[in-house]
Amino acid sequence: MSVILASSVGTLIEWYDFYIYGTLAPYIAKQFFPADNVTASYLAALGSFAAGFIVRPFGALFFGRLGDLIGRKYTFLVTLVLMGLSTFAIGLIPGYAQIGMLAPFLILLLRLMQGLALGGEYGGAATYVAEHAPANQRGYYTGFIQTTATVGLLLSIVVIISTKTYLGDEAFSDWGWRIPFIISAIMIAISVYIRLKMSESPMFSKIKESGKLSTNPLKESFSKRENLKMVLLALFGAVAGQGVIWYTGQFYAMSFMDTVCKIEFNTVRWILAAAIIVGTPFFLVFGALSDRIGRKWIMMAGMLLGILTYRPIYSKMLDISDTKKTEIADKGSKGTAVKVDAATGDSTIVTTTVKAYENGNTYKEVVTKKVLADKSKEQPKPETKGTVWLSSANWWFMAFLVFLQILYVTMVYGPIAAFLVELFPTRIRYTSMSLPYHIGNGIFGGLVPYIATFLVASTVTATNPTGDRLAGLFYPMVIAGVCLIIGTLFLPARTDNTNDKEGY
Amino acid sequence: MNTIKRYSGILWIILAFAAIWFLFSRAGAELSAANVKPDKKIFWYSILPVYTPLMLGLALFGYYALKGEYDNLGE
Repeated sequence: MSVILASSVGTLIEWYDFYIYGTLAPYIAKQFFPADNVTASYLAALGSFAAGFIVRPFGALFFGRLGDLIGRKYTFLVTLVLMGLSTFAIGLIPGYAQIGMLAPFLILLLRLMQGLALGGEYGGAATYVAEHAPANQRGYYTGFIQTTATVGLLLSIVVIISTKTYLGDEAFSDWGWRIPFIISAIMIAISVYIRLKMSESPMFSKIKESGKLSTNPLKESFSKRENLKMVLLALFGAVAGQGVIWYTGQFYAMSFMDTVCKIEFNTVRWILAAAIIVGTPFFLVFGALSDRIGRKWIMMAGMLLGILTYRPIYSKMLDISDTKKTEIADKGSKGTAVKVDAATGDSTIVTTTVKAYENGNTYKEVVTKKVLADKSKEQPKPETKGTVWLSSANWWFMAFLVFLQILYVTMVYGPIAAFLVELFPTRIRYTSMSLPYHIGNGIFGGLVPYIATFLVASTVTATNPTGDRLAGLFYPMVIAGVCLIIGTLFLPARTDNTNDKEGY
Repeated sequence: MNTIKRYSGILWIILAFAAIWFLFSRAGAELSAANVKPDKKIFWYSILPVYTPLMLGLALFGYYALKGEYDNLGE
């Protein structure tokens, strides 16, 4: 158990490092990627795409090959250090105002290094733990590694909200956002210390001693038909569907509450945190269950449940946060503040309207209108920002709906590490399992928010300015549907008795 | 079951090429519009080179299925 906890801590910290960039992206953009600079805007968009989608599979190939050649222990030690140094450095880079275009270039470079490190880390940790675990408990043991991605997200949420609450909005936006990056150095130092004390995987050591290591894991994994066909099966029969269920349950749910339901920033994070805390033990439950009944049907059930219930769940999420309900007229308020810039004569009129509803929710709308003193210039359009505060009952109901989605995540994600490990022989395992994992999660899963937004936007018409707000669910449902059919038809019911033979 | 697996291979091959056609036609329509924003360009210029080989991978999976490579898997 100490082996599992020791390797899980490092993986958790790597996920934390990766997520804080995503969560703090608006603050980073403000400091490093000014919107009026076209090149910087390109770099910002490139950073989010490249690190999440393109670089992770390359990291999987690069470090996977290394892990199959020199061993799991040293490889995932390198990925940990690389991730830690990149994260720490992001917290120290001076902003665009201080060093100009060098700032966004450095940030992009460090973000790419984060993506590379993450691409190498997961396969190493999953392989390492699985190769220490007894064959009949592989699902349960690797379940601990599977909790790290979700707990890493939880940790990032807690650190960010705590720092923001302690410092206040202005200080956090100015410099406080750097703190979550900088404190990562302490966590990484502890993880490196723990990992240095760990020994090499017994299965890897065994094949190394018997001289059966692969001399070219990349070639062996992807040019030999018997391995390549299993890589394709893993991707299209399991990981692609798992990726979209995971990203829908955690990230699209968060984005949907933020941008479509317009629920207040901290409330959204606490709802997600509550759902994660209750849901996380189920990674172990389904991991252990997969040791008894096989991995396949648990994963397929998770995908099926997602396909069948996403639309009703998201429809209910909209209903809970809806601001078109009956308004309680005497509980609302409206106020206007005017601020005049003494130097330019421009004035800013801020109108705040608070509405209370019979379902217990409160809606606050802030309209900011800037009036230029020079009347010959075109007057800017007013900006409107609406925020919903949920009633206590609705808060818990929303948390329950997000929890359901996290539960599906645990069904597809809990057993998948053991499943992938068992699909490939030890000599090329790190390489072979890392690539489909990062393509399934980085590309198929990582694209969920972007494609969902694109799909919703494509339904917008003049008569329906908000479009079909549930149209975004079409993408994860289709990918999970294809994966469900392929998985049901092609995946073996049991994988836990394969690839343990002498010589692997 | 093996017969279903084999015939489904044709479906995966068709699906893969249909997806490639859809992606390129959408990208063409979006990128040929006036005043294309940087993030949209990045999106399509990243998606096409990443997704196309993946869909070719799905076609290859379909081909292997059609050839019976997955027959009796795990049985």
